[in-house]
Amino acid sequence: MKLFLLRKLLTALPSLAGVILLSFFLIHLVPGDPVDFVLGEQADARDKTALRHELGLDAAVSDQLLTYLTQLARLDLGRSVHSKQNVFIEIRRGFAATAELSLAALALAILWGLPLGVWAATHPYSWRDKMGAGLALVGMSVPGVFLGPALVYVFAMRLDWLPVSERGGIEHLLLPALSLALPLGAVILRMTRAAMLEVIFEDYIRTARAKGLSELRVFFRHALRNALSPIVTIVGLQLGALLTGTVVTETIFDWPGFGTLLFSAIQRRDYPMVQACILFVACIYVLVNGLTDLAYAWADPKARA
Amino acid sequence: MKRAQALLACGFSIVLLMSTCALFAPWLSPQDPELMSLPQQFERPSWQHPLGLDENGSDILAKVLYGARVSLAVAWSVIAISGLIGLVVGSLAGYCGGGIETALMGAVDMVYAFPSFLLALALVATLGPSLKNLILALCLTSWTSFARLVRGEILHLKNREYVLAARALGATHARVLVRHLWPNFFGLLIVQANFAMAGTIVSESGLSFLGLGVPPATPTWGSLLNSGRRVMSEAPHISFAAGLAILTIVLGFNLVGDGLRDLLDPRRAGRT
Repeated sequence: MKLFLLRKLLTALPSLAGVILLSFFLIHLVPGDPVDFVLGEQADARDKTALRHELGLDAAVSDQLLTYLTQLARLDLGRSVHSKQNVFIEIRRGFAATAELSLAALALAILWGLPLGVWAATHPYSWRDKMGAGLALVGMSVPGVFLGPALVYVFAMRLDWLPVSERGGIEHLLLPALSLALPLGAVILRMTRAAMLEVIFEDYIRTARAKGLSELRVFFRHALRNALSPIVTIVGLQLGALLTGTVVTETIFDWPGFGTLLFSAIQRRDYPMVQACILFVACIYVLVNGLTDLAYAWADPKARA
Repeated sequence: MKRAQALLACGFSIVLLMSTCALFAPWLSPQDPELMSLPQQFERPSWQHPLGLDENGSDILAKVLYGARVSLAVAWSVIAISGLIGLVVGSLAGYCGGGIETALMGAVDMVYAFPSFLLALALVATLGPSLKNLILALCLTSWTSFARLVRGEILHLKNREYVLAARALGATHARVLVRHLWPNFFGLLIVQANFAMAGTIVSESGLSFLGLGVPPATPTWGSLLNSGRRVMSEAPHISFAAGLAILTIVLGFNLVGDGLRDLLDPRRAGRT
């Protein structure tokens, strides 16, 4: 198992190295002078020189890369040009908000997708199966950019049950989490149903029934346990995307998350912030993918080889 | 089998109907989408304006119809370009193997190290919003899935006896690829293209919603949703018209993808 983990980590290294290089060269790849973008072209020449020095752009490219890598090794990615704060402080704040939203959305999605997927698979090709499949298809076709405003209109404006926006207690969390959870749950429903259909005709399911186990036990203990690995994979992939910020949903609900942080940093040309965010996204992705592989190995012992 | 055909027919009708509407938007829309009439601001749907009017008194049906043109044109170009790139890259990687494969798939893995919507957003926000940059960004995130699919299929097929036989008969590598390998997974590629169409339309509407799509003056579904969001309590019909349009076309492409996949592989029909 340790070896398995180590190998997974090693295969991620080239990608990470590429991302580090990319984040460094980003500032050089963008057309135009980055200093002009931050200060405007009419800015005072002395201010420009100062900022150029602050960003380290007055040194040779090879020296810049060296400085960047040593800073990175010390986990010091500098300060935001905009807020003058250490980038990590802002990233941590944004990520906390995004993580809260993502985990709530994932929990809701599993809560409605998984049982419905199992329920649809209990009677393949029956009316309930068709209903489940239809629901999933519509659910995964709803764009978040529409679902968010629609939920706000119904639950906040018409019914006045829930507050519209901003971070706060659980009642603030519910609408944004729901708008992410509906399409995500639909994907989980489809995957669960498909994976269940692969196993429910197996002999060991018949054996379990013949032993006199209840249907609930047959489906959740025997069938679902064996159908779990593809479901784990899809959940892991989705979690990676959720944790790195869902800019649209965060914008709709004024959620001060990681996605909006990166978006505004790009628009302000806040290069240290953008660089740090890119690295952070890649690390989260590698980490979540690693955890997914781990969960996959747990769900399917054959994959541990 | 019947189920797959029903899905396919249903999805195909939706896609065809909406594409026709987009194509004939200038003839179908009740008035010019740019035409404003401020006194009629936020007017509810009526016979004259079936979907009502927006904050400038412009006709929403006209905007939805013209928005369909933008969304579909962007999605078609993105899928055509990225499908072609994916086909070439995947073929080279799968067929040549060795260093070429390592380098090409390394590039694919690097794109996969980022969430696709965030990558597209970062690119458009950096380069500045325009139609060209929008298509470029969406291509960058969608060619990889085609490349992976093609490479996998070619690895699976390239050592089959019929391929070796074709080589032994003197067929060139290019001929083996085009005549003997590609036709074997062309259907799968079309299935993937349909799901990618659905995804691209959703991403495009998200980017337009954030103001990163085509220039603001052009009506798009995303920008319609953006302006509709700010006047949700007075005029919910703006958001609902644009949102339901996106939902319908995305559902159409997903239905075609599902139906086609089941038709191509009857053994697992109806399983997903």
